[in-house]
Amino acid sequence: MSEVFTRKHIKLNLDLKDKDAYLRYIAKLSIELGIGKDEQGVYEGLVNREKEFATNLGDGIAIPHTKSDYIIKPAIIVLKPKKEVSWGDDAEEGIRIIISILSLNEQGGNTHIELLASLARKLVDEEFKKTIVNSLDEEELFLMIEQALHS
Amino acid sequence: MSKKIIALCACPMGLAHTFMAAEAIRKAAIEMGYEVKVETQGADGIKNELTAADIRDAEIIIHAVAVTPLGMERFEGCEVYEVGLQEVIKNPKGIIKEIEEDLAQ
Repeated sequence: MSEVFTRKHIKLNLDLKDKDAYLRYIAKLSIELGIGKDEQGVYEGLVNREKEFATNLGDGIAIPHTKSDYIIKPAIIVLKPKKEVSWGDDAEEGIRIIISILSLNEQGGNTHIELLASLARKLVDEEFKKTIVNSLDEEELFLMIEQALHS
Repeated sequence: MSKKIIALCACPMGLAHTFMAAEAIRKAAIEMGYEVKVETQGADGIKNELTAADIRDAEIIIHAVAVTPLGMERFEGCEVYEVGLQEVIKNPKGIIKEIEEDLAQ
């Protein structure tokens, strides 16, 4: 089985215009990495999910996610913007790390959901959050998140 | 025997907030000296399902949901505290304290 999360899924030092540009970037990256099969479909999935309620977790973390037929391989994508990004809600702090969760629209055979659930559970851990928000080191981010997926 | 909190968590995609809320409630409840059981209705289906005995024995019942969960009939006639997913993820102890205060009245 292909990996849910690899070093290629981490992009540091990004300097995009705004939240929308980051969502578009995730969609584009999903095609390049063989995660998604329709860039516009993935993008719209992310946008529509944000409309339900913004995925800003506070503490500088956002978790845009989508589950759809446009995703062909479940994956985590991690982006580090160079400067804080406003996530379009009333949160005061900007976003310093974007963890995007991309999932298939299938029932049953959901082993990947367990990985995603492990990561989600870790996202209420203050120490974990602090480390990933502040880290600018690809290897550290990779190991932290990889470990969280398998915790 | 310690007092028991039970909770049910569910969110639109069942990928993230369901599990974050479940973990936030679980941790806070333990730190506050409760026994705790949290059912998740995520993309992997119903996990850690709350039984009639769980519901009967619970001091506090929390629903942290952004969709209508399955099995709502189990809670008929029970006092259920509905809380926002984001609120409970950010401030689980505060929410449990508020519920405690409400129950003490």
